[in-house]
Amino acid sequence: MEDKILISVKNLKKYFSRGKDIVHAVEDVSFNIRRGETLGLVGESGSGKSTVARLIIRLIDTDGGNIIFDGVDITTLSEKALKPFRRRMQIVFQDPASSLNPQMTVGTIIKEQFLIHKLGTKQEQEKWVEELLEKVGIDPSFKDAYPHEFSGGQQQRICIARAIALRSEFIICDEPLSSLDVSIQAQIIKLLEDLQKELGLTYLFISHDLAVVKHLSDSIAVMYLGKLVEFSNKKDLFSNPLHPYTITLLSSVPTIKGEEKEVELKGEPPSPINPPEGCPFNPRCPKKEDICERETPILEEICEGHFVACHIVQR
Amino acid sequence: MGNKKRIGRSYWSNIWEKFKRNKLAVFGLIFVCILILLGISAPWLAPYPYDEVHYEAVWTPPCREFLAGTDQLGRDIFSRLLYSLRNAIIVGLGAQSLIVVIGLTLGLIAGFYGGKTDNILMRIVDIVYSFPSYLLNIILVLVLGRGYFSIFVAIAATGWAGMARLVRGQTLSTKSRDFVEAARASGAGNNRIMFRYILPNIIGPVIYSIFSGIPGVMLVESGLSLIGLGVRPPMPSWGLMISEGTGQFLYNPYMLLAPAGMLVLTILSFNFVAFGLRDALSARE
Repeated sequence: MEDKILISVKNLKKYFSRGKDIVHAVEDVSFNIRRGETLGLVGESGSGKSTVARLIIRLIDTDGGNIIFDGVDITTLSEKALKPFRRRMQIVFQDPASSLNPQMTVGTIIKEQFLIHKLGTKQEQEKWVEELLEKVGIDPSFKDAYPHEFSGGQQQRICIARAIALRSEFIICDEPLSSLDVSIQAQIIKLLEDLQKELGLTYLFISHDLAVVKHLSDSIAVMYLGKLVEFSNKKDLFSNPLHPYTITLLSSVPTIKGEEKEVELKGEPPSPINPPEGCPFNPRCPKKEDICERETPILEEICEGHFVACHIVQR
Repeated sequence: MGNKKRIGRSYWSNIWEKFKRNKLAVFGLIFVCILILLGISAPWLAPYPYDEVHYEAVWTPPCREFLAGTDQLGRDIFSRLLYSLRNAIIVGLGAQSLIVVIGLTLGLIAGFYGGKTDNILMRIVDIVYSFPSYLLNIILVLVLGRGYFSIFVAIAATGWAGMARLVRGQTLSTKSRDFVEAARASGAGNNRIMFRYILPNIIGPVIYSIFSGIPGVMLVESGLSLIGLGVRPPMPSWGLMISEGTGQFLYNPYMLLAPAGMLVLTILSFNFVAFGLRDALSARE
C-alpha cells in the first residue's frame, strides 16, 4: 500500500494556439506520485507547471498522453464519468482571495462540496463544515463570514478546508504560498504537513521556492520550457544535481554567507512559441555542445530513481 | 476580524454601505421611489381625468384649482404630468425588463459557452448595435402600431445588444476566476456554475446598467411621442406635452416648463442612483 503509485502521468502534452502561433506549454511530461508522498514541481514562471496541474485535474483537455489515477485512465473520461474522481482529487490555487466566491459565506463555500456530490443531510453538512474549519484552524463560529473578511492566510486555510472536505486523497497545491507573507507561509506549510500525516494525503506541490520544496517534498521534478529536465528523490537532487539547469537553479538560492555563485544563468528563457531545436535549455546552457542543438534529449534513468534529460550527463 | 459584530457582512451590504455614503445617490434613490409611487397612484392622486376638457378655463396659468395650469383644451396639466410619469415608468421598466431578459440570457450563453456560439451571437449583436436605433424604433412602431407593447418591443429590439455585450464581457472575466475553476474541479455542473457562481458575481454591473438605461428609454419614448408615435393620445406623455408646449412658450411658458422639468428631474434622479451604484460597485476594500 505504501509504495503504490496513486497518480501517474505519461507523455503529457498541451499546446495552446495563439493566432497562427502554437505555444508548447507542456511537452512529454511523465512522472509518478506514490500514495502518501509529495512531489515537488519546480521551474521558472512560464515553464508549464500550472498547466500540468490543470491538465491532471482535468480543468483543461490534454493534447496527448495519459493521466492514470489509481489505475484508471482518466485522460478522456466524460465529465459525468469523471465525477467520482473529482471527489478524490482537489486543487488549492495561488491566490486565495480569488479562489473563494465573494458572494458566499465560507460555510456555504465548503458546503458546496457536499451539495455538488449530494452527500449527507443538512445537519450533517453543517457539522462537517464546522469540523473542517476547526481542522484547518479557523474558529467555526466564523462560518457565516464572507471571504473578504478574512486575511490571506485564513483564506488559504479555507481553501485547504474546501480541498479536504470530500476526503480527497490527492491534492494539487498550485503555488499556495506565493501570495502570503513568510510568517504565514510557515503556518500553512505546517498545516499541509499535519493534514498529510493525519489523512494520508498525496500532494503535487508546485512552487518556485526551492527551500519550501526541499522541506515538503519526497521527490522533485524540475521543469523547463514545458519539458521535464530532471526527476529524482529529494536527497539525490539536492546533493547531486545533474542537469545544468538544476545546477544553476540550486546555486541561485541565496545563502546567508553570500558566497560567489558558481554558475550564473544568463538571458531569459526562450519563448515557448518557438522553442529552440534540440534541448530547450541549449541557448543558456554553460555546457552546450553541437548535439544539444540538433537532438532533443530524452529523460533517462542515470542512477536508481534519478532521471535526467541531458546529452552531456547521459554520456 | 476580532470584532464579532462585523462578521457576516455580505458583498451587497458592503455596497449598500458605500452607496449610503453618497448623499446625491441616496437623494436620487428616495426621489426615484417617490416618482414610482406617484406613477402607480396616478389614477387616485390626479385631481382630474387626464382627458377632461374645461373649455371655460383654457390656458389657465397655475392656480389653486389647476396646480400646474391648463393646456389649450383646458385639461389639467398636473393630472397629465402624473399620467405621463406613469407612462414613462411603465415604458422604462417594461422595456428595460425585456432588455435584461434578452441581453442577460444571450450574453450569459455567449460568454459561458464561448467558441462558435459566442461568435455567432456576438456578430448578431454587432449587427443590431450598428443599426441607427431611433430610426428602427420609428419603423417598428409604425409597423406594430402604437401602444405600450410595440414601444417595449421597439426599444428592446435595439437595446438588448448593449446589455448582451456587457453580460458577455463580465461572464468571460468571471469564468476564468479561480473560484469558478475550483467549482469545476469539484465537479459542479454547468447550471450550478452559471447560476451560483457567475450570475451573482455579474449582477452588480447589470443593475447599474438597468438604472443608467432607464432614462435613455424614457427619452426614446418622449422622442417618439414628440413626433406623434408614442402612447396614443389623449393618453399624455412628456414628449407630447413638450411638443404642445413649445408653440406656447412665449405666452404660456408653464406648458413647456412643467413637462420638461419633470422629465429632467426624473432622468437626473435615475442617473444619480446609477452613478452612486457605479461608484459603490467599483470601490474596492
